[in-house]
Amino acid sequence: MELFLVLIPVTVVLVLLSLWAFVWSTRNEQFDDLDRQAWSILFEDPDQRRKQDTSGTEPRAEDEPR
Amino acid sequence: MLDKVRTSLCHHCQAPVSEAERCEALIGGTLHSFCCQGCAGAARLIDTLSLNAFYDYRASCDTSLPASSQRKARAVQDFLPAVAHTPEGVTLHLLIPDLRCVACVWLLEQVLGRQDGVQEVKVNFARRRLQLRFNDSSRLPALVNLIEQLGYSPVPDLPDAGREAGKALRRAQLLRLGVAGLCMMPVMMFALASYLAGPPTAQNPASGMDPLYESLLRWASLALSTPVVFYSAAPFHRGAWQALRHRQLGMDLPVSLAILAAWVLSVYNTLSFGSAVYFDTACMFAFLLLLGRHVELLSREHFEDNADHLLRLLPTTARRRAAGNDAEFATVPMHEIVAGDVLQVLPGETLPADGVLLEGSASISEAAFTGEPLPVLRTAGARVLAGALNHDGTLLVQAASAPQDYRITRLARLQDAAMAYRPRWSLLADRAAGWFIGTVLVLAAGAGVAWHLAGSPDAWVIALTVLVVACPCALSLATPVAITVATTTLRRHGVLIRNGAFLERAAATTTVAFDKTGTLTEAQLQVQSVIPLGERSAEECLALATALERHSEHPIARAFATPTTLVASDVDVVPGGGVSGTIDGHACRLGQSAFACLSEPALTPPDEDGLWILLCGPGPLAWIGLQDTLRPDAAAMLEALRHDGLCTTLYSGDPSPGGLRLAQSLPLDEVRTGMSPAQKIAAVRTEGERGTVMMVGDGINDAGAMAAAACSIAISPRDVLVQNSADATLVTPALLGLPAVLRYARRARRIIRQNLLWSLLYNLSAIPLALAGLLPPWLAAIGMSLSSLLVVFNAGRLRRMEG
Repeated sequence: MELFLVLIPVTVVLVLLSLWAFVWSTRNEQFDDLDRQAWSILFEDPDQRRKQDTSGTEPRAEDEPR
Repeated sequence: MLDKVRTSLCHHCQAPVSEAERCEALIGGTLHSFCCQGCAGAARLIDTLSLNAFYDYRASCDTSLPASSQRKARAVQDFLPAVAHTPEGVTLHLLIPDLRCVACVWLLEQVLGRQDGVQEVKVNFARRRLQLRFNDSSRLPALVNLIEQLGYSPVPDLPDAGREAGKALRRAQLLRLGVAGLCMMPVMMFALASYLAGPPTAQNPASGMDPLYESLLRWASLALSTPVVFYSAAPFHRGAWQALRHRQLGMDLPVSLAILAAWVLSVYNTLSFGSAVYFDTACMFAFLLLLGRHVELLSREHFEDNADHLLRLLPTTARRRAAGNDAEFATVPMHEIVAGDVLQVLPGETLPADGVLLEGSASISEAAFTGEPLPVLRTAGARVLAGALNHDGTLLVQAASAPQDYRITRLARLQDAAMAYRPRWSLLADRAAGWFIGTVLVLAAGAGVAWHLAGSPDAWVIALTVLVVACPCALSLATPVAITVATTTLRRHGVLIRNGAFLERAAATTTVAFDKTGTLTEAQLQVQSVIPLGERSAEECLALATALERHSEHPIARAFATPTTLVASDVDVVPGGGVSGTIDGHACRLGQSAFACLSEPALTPPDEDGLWILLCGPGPLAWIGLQDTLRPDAAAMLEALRHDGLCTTLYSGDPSPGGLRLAQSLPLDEVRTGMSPAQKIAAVRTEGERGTVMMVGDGINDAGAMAAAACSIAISPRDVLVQNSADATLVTPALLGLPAVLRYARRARRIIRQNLLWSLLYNLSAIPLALAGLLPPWLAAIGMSLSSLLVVFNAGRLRRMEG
């Protein structure tokens, strides 16, 4: 049970850290546009796709349209 | 291999393709069809940049917003005010109203990011803003041109003090909300520990926990709840203090007092190791109320963005005639226009000033003022309004006033005032709460004094317990939380609410009054009938008409889409008259009978409803009747309303017998046609004495009737989200959304009433117990949290539209 004497202050410190992170990200416009970022993961950068295609030495069947 | 894909939608902008303007292009080995050359060009450009993935990405996006059909290239100098010069480079701020989905964002970032000299592309999809940083201001025209080539219509995003303030407010509110949320979670967890530890023991008066851990939890909660009480909840304290300074007991006062009282009592008990703490209650209360305010702000901002668009109808520059030289025109910014200036307006441009037409004649549409999409012919001497669109003439306009006195500017100001208006019910709730809190303050003080006189050592604790238990947390959460959930749910289903009282009044609606044009009908002309007068058949006549109208931009031209191989040459479009041209060697004319039929005395149109135009080639060939068509789901919607026991009436301004016949084909309880706006207002008022009237219209030309009705909802015309004055707007074109909204409003009212009843019962039963000193503080805290939670969960049932 003595562990609580450490754990609870640690919780408080963690919350303060997350508060700092939240304030930092709000000030840096991280929350201004929530829709775009959620979708961006689905969109490939065409430059990278091309690089992948040419750098691969083995033929990659799944990338080629059949 | 060539795949010939024939779809009725444009491959690029997804607008329906009209046969007349259809064009095709070979993109990536597939033949696609496009609605215009502009779209085909955009697709070719995307193909050249090998960004065809855009179309795949877009397929997975929800493109509920329609594409804008009118494309108007702006002069480069229009964009100069939106350019900021910084040490790192040149920054251009643009608003792109037709940014439809995230795929568009991706496309813009890819295309612009590859241009030489572009340092940074930032697109904010939610606000449809583009921020572009590049190294050299000489690139500006090329970059703007590129965006236009992709099929977007960028508008300069001018710095605006109001919007900057709104942005700062939103950020401050988000910070407050986030701090409250982050601190609330551990505080509630700490509180749960002492709730679970069980009832007080001899060793610990608060709970069954070891006093060491109990006080550790309390000190931790104290540390974390302090920023919530003094930073997050600051707007409530400020509001309460300002109301007090004006000698009023505002709605913020009980909230502020409850948060402060819960916190002060908890700090007192932490220091003195008293019976219970309420840090969790204070935090949760602040968080939930802030959440409600934030959602409200977001939905209000949506409208404010649209209000901006009203003024965006105006151009940013105008061509002013030089003082000495009549043939010389200088481009000046809008704000330099003064009364008496003579301005030149070219075809396709928006009028820059209210004033009198000096020279020229043109079809001008004033949709922003009248809601009537059909242009009207204006000749020299006519009064014209800024913001109206000049379709086809070169005009000279003498400004009658400076921009701040334009009718459109005044309209925008009126709208601002309407948005700031607080509904009556909200003021009433404030007054009731003020009365309630006054009583509670007297009761708490009285209890403290009485118990002190009776010699009780707990007099101070009892007084504060009364204050905590009587705190109208649940009562003050009951309505806002339900309205917050309802507003969000409705917005997800395509209903935008501007006036908070809309739900309340929609629930009480007994009569629904409709406007006709654009509400029950499509507001788009279609060929209704063709009466051949000569030797040619109806089909041949339509083909001739289509060949002629292909060259016209007039809205009537859109009604003609007969496939034809005929080609008209020597075409001349006469404003206010019609179209003339030569087809297969025959001189053909189409338009009003006086225009079309040159030789003979003007023919009178057949005595039937609708708009009639005459086709001659050269002798009279046919009368073509055009009429507005009913929306396909209008009858089903009216049946649904009738099934719900509502009375339906139609107030139409259209005096034609055809309009009456069209209306009589619908299941309406009352039909009145040919009404002036004043008559509509009077009719709505009379109806309003018998019940609650909801006015449904397009929200522009029936604004007066809408204001006279208890509540109003606008149905946006088929492809544009117009500016309107209604309490709510139905964005989806499906009319059946209307009965669903009314049913939902009634359900929301039921849930709000349940919430109010429950919280009143809780307060009324707990206060006497606390006054009698029978309620231990820990039980008071649990009761308070539970009553608030119950209210919140009950409101959560509104997250489903049906049910």
